[in-house]
Amino acid sequence: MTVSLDKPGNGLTRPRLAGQWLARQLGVEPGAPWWMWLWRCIVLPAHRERTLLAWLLQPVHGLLRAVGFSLRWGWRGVALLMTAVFWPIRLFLRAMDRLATHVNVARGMRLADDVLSPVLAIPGLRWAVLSVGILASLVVISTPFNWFGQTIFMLLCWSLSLVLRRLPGRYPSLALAAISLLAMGRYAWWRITSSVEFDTFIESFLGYGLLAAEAYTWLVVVLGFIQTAWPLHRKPAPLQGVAASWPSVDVFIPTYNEPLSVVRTTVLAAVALDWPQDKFKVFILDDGRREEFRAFAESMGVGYIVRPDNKHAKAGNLNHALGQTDGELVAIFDCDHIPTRSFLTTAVGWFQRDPKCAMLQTPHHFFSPDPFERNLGTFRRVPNEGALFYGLIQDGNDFWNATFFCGSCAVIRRGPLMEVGGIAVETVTEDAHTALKLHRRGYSTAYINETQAAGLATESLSAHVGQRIRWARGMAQIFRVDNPFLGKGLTLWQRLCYANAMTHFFFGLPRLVFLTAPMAYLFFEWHIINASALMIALYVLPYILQSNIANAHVQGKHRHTFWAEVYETVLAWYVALPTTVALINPSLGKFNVTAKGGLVDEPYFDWAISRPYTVLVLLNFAAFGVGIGRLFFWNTDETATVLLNLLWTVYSILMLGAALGVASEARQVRRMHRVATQLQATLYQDDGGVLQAVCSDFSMTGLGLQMPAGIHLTVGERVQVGLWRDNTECTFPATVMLHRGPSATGLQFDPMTREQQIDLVQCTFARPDTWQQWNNSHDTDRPLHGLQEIAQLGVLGYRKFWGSLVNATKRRWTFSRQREQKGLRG
Amino acid sequence: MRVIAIVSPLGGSGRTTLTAHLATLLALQGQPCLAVELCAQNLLGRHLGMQEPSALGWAALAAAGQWWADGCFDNSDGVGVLPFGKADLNTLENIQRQLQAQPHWLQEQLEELDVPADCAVLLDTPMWPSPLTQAALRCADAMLVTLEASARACAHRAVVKDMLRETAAAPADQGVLVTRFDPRRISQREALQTLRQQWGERLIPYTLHEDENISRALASAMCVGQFAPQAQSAHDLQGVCKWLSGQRTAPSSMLLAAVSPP
Repeated sequence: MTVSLDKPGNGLTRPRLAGQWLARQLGVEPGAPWWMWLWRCIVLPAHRERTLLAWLLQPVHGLLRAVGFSLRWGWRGVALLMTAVFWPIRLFLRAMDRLATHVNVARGMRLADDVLSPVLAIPGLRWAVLSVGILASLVVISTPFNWFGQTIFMLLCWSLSLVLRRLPGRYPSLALAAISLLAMGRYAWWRITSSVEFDTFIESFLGYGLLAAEAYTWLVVVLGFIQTAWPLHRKPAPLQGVAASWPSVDVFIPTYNEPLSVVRTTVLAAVALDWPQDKFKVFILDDGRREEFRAFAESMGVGYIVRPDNKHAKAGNLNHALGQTDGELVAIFDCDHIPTRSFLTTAVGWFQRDPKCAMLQTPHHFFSPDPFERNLGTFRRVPNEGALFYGLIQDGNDFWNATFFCGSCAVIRRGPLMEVGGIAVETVTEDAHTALKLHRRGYSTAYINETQAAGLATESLSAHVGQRIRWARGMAQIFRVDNPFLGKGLTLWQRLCYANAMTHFFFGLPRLVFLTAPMAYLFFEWHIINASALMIALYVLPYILQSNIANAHVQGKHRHTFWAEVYETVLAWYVALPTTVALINPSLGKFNVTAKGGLVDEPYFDWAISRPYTVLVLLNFAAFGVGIGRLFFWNTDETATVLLNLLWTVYSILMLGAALGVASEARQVRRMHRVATQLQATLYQDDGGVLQAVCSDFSMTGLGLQMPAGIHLTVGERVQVGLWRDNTECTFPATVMLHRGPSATGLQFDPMTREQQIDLVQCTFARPDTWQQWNNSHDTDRPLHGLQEIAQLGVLGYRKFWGSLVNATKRRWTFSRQREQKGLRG
Repeated sequence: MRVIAIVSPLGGSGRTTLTAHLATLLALQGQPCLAVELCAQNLLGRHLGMQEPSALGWAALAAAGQWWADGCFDNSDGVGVLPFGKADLNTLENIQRQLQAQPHWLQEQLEELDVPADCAVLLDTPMWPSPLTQAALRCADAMLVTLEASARACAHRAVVKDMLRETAAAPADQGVLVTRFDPRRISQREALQTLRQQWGERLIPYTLHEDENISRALASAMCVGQFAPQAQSAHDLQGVCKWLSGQRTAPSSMLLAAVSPP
């Protein structure tokens, strides 16, 4: 007895005990047949939570949790480590910021004005200073350093720019640009002199290709800094003399295939421009020759001009109209650009003040989101693609008297325009080419950065891409047929500005090179940069760092850091071919009209347009996979090189992800885009009650009202809405359509008279102040934060891409199954 | 004491309504306030909360040579009201005679009132021309001419000019207010433009809208600001009140804040 009691765990009893425990666990009754065990184990467990599989998986689950736990804490540890590493850097940044507060900027400016300006006014001295500066920077650029010297150089540049970036004014901007050019110059010099010795033909081919792509970016950077060195910020000139002596103006509204609903608003706004009634005429130039438009023009009392053919598209259309009219000035609006009523009073002053002024451009402003903004959700938060051009580049051009004509929202003097043969027809970007011709004749152009008109952005990505292809092609054409570096009449600086405008559009090929360059090493182990990873990093890092700091300072308000990469990545593939073709043969290819006023009914993924990116993404992922292999197994002797290439690939993958995100079209709800606003409104109810409300959005077909609390409008109720045009209240009949929230109501306008329609446009789109503070809603540019956001957008892009892929597969599968079934039935 | 005369050469242009509302708004802001009705219609009491037109008023007392302010009462908003009271033709004749004999009679009477030094006295006047209105204009520190946006208002330009010549109020305190405005009617919009040209700076930037809520408020013996605070007319009246207290900025009818993010 004692034996069995003392040793329950010997050979015989232990398995039995285990068996009993297992039986209890599984709920198998004692003495059950053997198959019951199996039954309970797999098929029908006694309790739901006692299925064997789950039970067996328990340790796995625990393991996973442990892994998750350790990962989480590991991540925290890494984050802590990063913080610790970056702590001194942050401290340093803060110290530099503090240092910047001790700089007496005002005194520096005074000194510059009192001493520098008179000295520089001595003839020839500017050039002397410039040459000395270039010589000195050549010395700095071409001095060879070892890794230590280059590190010191980098640190000094960085500290200096950290102080400079906190200083207001233009001289710090120029200094930052100079430093960034130095860093870039050093990189370029080093790159050309000591990184291009290759072993094989293919390596040298690819290596020189990459170098050429980089050289292109250097060129664009240099030209860009020159172009935007000193933005003019021209103010409108006040009109001189009495109204009767102001110049006469013809307002041209060219249209081809846009619906009347789009053109109508523009015409309604144009007829009510602030200008003496007998001094301006509005003309619809209808290349579609539509009866509907003719009748509309007649009902509005505006001119209607058609021509027998559609030769040279918009340019031809305008030229034909120029022959039929006689105003001293010509104002041109694309049919969807609604002018504010102050357009002419703002723009024409400069024509009176400067008799040589042949063209004045105002910004193109879009009140609907472009495909980037809509699909990435950045509307009115991140400056869009055009913001840099109209916010900074045109102002910079203006300083060098090189403002381009942009086809719309501009005023041109008829005399000079006829002198150069009207609007240029040789290229598909007739606008820029016309300006170039005017400049060659010695005329000046002007730019006023005050939004005086607004329009619809392109609706879909494909339309957007189509438009950019046209611009890129046209610019390449001008580069070939009327190269700004050749021919007479231009100043050096005008030539440089035009050159930048054109070379800018050649970004396609270089961008594709950058997106694929690391693959040469990762796939084939070709070394296309012949230098150690450390030296590359030491030269590239200051270049990238300095140009980012300089760019954030110079253009941060108009283009957030890294966003140029997103915009260019999306367009790269599409502009690469047309620009190359146009360079080879400028007359190839045909003109396409930008579609406006469309609607994206369903969210969809634009497979056709994203195909090149899908390929690039797959390649990059493959390269990344191979790179991981190289990192751990095959190329353990050049870890740094592999890491550098991997990092580059990850960056490309993120950018491509953002590009995929743009291709995933979000749904557009309204046919007429509603403009968000805050206007005081009055609501007239049928029973005679008059209520105060706030108009929160408007379009030509309806508006949104915010009603005071406690007011309930019934759907279908007919009301009148009062809006203000200066101090005049205008009323519009409307019907209550829906309640969007506790106090937000949507209304739709009832049919209105011509006068009411004009009033409506005047109370909404054509208010001089409607677009004024539009850009203030942009977030401030925080480079690192921006990178993080783009990374997030990239990940989101992949998620959308994956979702669309799954959907498409499913649909195809069900479709083929349906077909099969039909086939069976048939 | 600040005397504000509300006058008009047109009947039915909202003098009494305006007087009552301005008095209430001022009183609600904590300003001591007395509304005096110089108009024989005897309706001001009704506008300020009385259910019945008051029989007792200053007219009968003054005609009988007694102290005129004995008929004064305070309403629940803290507005002092001095109604005209029931008056027959004899009484009116007596008052007129008194005014002829003593051109400063009204001013003297006002000065003898036992009111706080910072009290605002609003005078609801009969239709111009009338001796009582003339007397009110002569002792006014500020005046409001109510005009509706109509052709007849535009035609009364010279008459209004005459009134402005009568008043003691400084030019900056002379305002022309467009009342009963309905922008749905083109004639009214055009008339407003004409009035704007006629009166320029004098025209108060606020226009009082024709609003059913005012009539409904009167039916409930309330002020429109209390009856329907969200009514446009309530906002307009607030604006006029601001103008009276010296805030001459243009109304926010234009843009609240140009464009705010969506």
